[in-house]
Amino acid sequence: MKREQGLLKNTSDCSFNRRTFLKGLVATGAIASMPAGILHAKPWERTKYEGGYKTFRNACPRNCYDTCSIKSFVKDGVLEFVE
Amino acid sequence: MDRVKLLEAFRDFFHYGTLDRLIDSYAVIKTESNTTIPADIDWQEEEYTFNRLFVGPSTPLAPAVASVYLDPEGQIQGKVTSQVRDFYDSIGLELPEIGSEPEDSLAYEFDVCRYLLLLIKEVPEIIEAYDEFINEHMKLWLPQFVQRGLENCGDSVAIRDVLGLINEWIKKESEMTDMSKELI
Repeated sequence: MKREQGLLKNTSDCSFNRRTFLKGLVATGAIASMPAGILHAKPWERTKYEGGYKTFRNACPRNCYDTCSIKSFVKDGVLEFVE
Repeated sequence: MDRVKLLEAFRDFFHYGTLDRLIDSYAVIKTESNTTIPADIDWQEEEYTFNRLFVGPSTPLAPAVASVYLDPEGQIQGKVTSQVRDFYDSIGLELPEIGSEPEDSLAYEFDVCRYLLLLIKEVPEIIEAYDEFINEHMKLWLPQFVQRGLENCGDSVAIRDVLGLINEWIKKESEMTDMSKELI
């Protein structure tokens, strides 16, 4: 069977169908119980908090130094809030 | 061969960038791949070559970042980085300092493979996510990265050796995940 080229095409189309299953691992704390590496386990609360939102990292466009970073949370194509 | 230890050593070789870490991780890589360390390694020269290839200060000759090879314009922190970040997020992983380095840097990709291998021991179905990351992501850029590294690493012994072993590793993992998936 011919493979589709690029994992990452699939994820961008939100068709990564085991995402929900993998999220289950986060909920059970499976990753947090592994020997730590250079990547860190994401706190479960934050994963839950961000669930359903697409997040973007932006810079503040105000006319000072334009260097403050902003994290924006988008759901169903609508910007809901920023941090 | 301990696959997790080998991944940790590959990860450390590219992550820390200090001479002592290079020497230590190279020793583990050789042990875990059942090969012997050549006697005539000039580590000062290896460190220089390592920085020239992967770090800087001038433009690295073979950046160890997936975007360079997979993004049509070679843009780092673009779509490819974002998609790899989403993959980490789906497993519940993130960089300690988000935005400080691209998530698709080689050391982080080795680390996520290590996490997945450890998880497979507890949840065999994770092999599908591992297979996807290996065959539909890492396998698409590692051979190009290795090729570019080999073309520019001059007389280096250790770096040439590690690049060759990474090439073997990706081929083996790709074949093994295909076979393992059939068993599930």
